Amino acid sequence: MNTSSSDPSVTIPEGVTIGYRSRKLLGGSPETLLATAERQISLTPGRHLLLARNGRGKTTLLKTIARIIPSLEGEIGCDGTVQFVDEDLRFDNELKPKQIFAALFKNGQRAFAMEMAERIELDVNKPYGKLSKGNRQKVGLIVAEARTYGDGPHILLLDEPFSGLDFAAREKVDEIWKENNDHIVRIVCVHPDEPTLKADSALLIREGALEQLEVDGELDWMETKHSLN
Amino acid sequence: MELYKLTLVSILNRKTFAIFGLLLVALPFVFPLITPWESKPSLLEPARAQTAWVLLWITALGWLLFQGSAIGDRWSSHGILEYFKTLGHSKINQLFQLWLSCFTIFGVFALITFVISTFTALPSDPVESKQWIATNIQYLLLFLLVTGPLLVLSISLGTRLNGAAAYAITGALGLYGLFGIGQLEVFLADNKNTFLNLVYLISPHYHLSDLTSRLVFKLGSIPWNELAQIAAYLGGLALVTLGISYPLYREGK
Repeated sequence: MNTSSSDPSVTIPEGVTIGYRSRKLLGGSPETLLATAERQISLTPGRHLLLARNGRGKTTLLKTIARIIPSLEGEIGCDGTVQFVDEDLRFDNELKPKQIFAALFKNGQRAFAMEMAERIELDVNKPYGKLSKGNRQKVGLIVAEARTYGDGPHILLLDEPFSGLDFAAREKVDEIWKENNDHIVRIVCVHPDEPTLKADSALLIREGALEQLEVDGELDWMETKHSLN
Repeated sequence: MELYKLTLVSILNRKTFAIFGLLLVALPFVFPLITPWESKPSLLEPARAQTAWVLLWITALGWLLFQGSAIGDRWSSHGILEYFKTLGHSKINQLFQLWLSCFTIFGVFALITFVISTFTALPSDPVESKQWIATNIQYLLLFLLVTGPLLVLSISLGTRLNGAAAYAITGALGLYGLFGIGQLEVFLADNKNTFLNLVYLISPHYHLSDLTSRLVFKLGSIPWNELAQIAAYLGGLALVTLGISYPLYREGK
């Protein structure tokens, strides 16, 4: 992952193909193609929603951008510190959010994490194992957000971060994102049935094609939803 | 060092270390008193050293390797290692931080044992006491050369298999290297078997690091040139273990 003092960006050149390489020992098809970029996609600071139906490659795309798995063809360019926050990211049940933030952050970032926790109503003294699904997701969101505080360009890859959050919490996160928006590319994977966020663009995976839909703050959710196969 | 801190806090929160820590401090003073030591009080101090080191081996095989396997398993299953990978932490970096977090606590255990064995059982004779201190230093060095790499292996296996399997493999390997090889040696003394001879040759001879009997029977320290040979062998074995551990390590399941 490259870091520089310039604005962060993600570039997905035309022809980049995402999918899986299966182990040949197990037989079957050696490659499972999920989607190909038909045109170059450039993502600049702002919020970009990733929309597709189940199993179409949303998480695979995020993992490919994060270089957890390789692309099947082409290479995705990232300029900035990448963080991939999986929907299943979990900390130990005994740890309290306060301890997690203390272990991961220092000074300003830690203070930011504690402040964000207060704003989105997360009890930092409750063990992680006793938090609800939504509150556990808040921990992941705070970890991702706090790391971006006061330091260089960042690329946040968030896999369904809102699936367990209530409406009020989503609005507060939305508010925090707006305040902290200049040096961050956020790619937010959301389920097409739960569109509540505004966005600078939408990445769609449909009929095996990865494409970018430019939007001006408002996305026509019904039309987008019905266009996904 | 965020992964190190997160893992260390996690281990400390689970508190099992406290049980082993308490036993390591208390039992070397309690167990020898259960024996009929009054008939020969001079045996009390070597018995204390013996208990201390045996307990440390038990802690290494029972607690340390379990921690390594469990941490590797949990962190890779829960997406933590993938998260740190995206932040640019390489495999070696992650493995080192996980290893260090477990060894920070275990290092304290080893130090406690060293202090108990060295200073609470120190012979009064100046020559003997010099030998006693040297033997304890040698023991600590060889002990760490065996347990350190085994911990790395347990972490790596934990990230690939599940915690129980990783612990069973490294625990069995440790027990075999400490005690199993001795049995094999006895068998080979009476029987000629090329295959078992080869197995004996390539087996990890961890028993070379066990100097408990040297302490108990006051055999004195190992000559330094011999120690260098044993350390070189165990060091080579450590490199092989690390070489196997690295490709086994993976960030996600």
